[in-house]
Amino acid sequence: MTVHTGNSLESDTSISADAVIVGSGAGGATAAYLLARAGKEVVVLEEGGYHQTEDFEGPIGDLMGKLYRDAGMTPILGKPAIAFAEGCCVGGSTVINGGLCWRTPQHVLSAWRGTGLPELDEASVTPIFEELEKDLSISVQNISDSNAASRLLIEGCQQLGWAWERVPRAQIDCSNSNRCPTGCPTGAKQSMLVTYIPKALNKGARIYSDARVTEIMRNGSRAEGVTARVTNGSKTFRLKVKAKAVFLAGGSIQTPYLLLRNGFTHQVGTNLQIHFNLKAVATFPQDIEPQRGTMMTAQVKQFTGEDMYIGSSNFDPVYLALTLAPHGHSVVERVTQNWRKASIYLVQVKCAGTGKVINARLGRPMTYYKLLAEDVRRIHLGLRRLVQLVLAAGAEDVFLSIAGSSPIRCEADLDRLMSNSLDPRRLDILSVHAMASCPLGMDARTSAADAFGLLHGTDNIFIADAGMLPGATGTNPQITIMAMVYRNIMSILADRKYRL
Amino acid sequence: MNETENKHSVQSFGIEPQMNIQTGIVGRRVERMVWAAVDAELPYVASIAEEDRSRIALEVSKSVFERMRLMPFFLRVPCYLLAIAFDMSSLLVCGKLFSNLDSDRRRTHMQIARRWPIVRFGELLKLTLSLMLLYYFDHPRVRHAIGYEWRTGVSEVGR
Repeated sequence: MTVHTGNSLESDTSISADAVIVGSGAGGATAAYLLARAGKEVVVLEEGGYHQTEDFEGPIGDLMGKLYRDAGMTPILGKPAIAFAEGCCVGGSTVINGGLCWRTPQHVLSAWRGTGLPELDEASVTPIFEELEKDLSISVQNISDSNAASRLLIEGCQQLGWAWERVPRAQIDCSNSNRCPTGCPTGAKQSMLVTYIPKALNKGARIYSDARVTEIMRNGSRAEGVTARVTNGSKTFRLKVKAKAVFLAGGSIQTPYLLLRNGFTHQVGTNLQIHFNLKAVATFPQDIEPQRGTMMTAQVKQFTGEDMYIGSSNFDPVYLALTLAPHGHSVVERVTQNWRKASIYLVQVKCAGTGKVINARLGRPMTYYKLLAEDVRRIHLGLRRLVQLVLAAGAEDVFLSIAGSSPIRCEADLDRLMSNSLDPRRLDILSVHAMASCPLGMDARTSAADAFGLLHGTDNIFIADAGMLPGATGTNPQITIMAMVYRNIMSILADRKYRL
Repeated sequence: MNETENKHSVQSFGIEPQMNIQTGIVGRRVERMVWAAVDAELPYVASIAEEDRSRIALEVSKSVFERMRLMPFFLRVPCYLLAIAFDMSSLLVCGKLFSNLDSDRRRTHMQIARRWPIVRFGELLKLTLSLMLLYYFDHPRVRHAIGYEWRTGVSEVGR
């Protein structure tokens, strides 16, 4: 059993299945495996290519072109525009993330339960998390194997009396190749590509890569399947998949776009929530050899209740230079030549407002997020805490992702920077987490789907990706997405009304 | 400095930017603007000789342009238009196209244009220079020069 790539299709083709799943990331692969395990005929359609562990070597730029949507250059429009990066390959964003798998924070689950959503209590979700953690070999790593950035983060926390935790990651024998963002070249990271995709294939699922779904075939409120455009070199063929149920797992931007294109508009794409990532480079007086050891082994947990996390980031001269870019030519030259003294940190902040996914009829979704005053306040607070942390860890200079800012050497420098009514457009914001664009919920007026992901007004179209989360998780959402899909699939399989 | 000298400074060490003839007139104009920006802003690494640097600048600028060419239509079109407008914007200030200026004046013009109140060139320059940094520090020659080399498979660097 293998993945059918675009090259395997030589003409327009029609196939049928019990379930067709659009997308093969955390949500799609989980749905595929669980449905195939239950004996259902499953077809997965993935827009991106099929790349395996041995393909994840070579220049970062080339790999970004292969593994990321738009080579990692998808913008979320607004002031400032936010650089959004997501995977577009078999395995989705799990192939290019850091494998961080935090369970959904208790206060987030509690808020979701508060809206009346069933089966989100401790007794229901704990066994799901445990099974997923076992399947993905999620474990914390030894601090003694950490790279300097993580060890210094811990030192900073100890100086400030802040809580920190070891990071649970989906990995087996991580060999510190330090290439998480461009696919793990050793297969240590337990992405969907090496876990639920092969498991689904073993259970008989059929997976087609290079297949972009453009149409949901409908008969009234019932979907009859989907049509995909499959690319085979310069040729394009249509692949029609008839199915009893359609699961949409293309992510929080592509799923609402597909729905909007097909005339589904109720609460679709209007509640997009994201996490802002703001990076900083800290330089230390001594060589710290930031590339040695395991990345991202510890994270600051002092501000969990505020949905704010500080951690280290993957190190490479490319990432170092990109993080320093807002500071200009001379800083990039100086710090990259002394890269052994530098490390990269990031603060992740949950958005306060909501963005939109729009079908502007340009063949691609347009995504928009208006930064609120509250977002700016949280970002400033996050940057302040990040600076406090790395200064406490002994950093000499801190270069924030703020265009034209000077290096921060003490908190007074930061006060000066922040007090000058900092124009938000100077902020260099990244996002790798988009959620809640088609939220499930108990109230049909405020949600796109029912409590288990069934799109309102339809009989058999289910949302099975980060888009169905009721809100942003605050933390890395991979395991939350998988757990929610698990919960939904089990209910769908058990409930005869879905006729799956 | 006259026009001939300016061109010579652009085509230093006999490494003339050979533009991709398949990209059309617009594409070639954009490619030249990208090359001029990259050549001016490419970071210096002490152990890379000037001739090698020019060669790397050309390779990097080709990669940057290629990445722009592959952008979705709704991003590519405004990006191309901005690039052409940017190339022409220096006519107002210096009387020459940006791509015909010497590197010092190109750098100065980029700094000014970032704050241009009418046309927002800042996003174009941010994109161009970010892609430049990506491809420059991804270049094996540069990684070797700064002492950071990626080894295939299990990284010995990371051990």
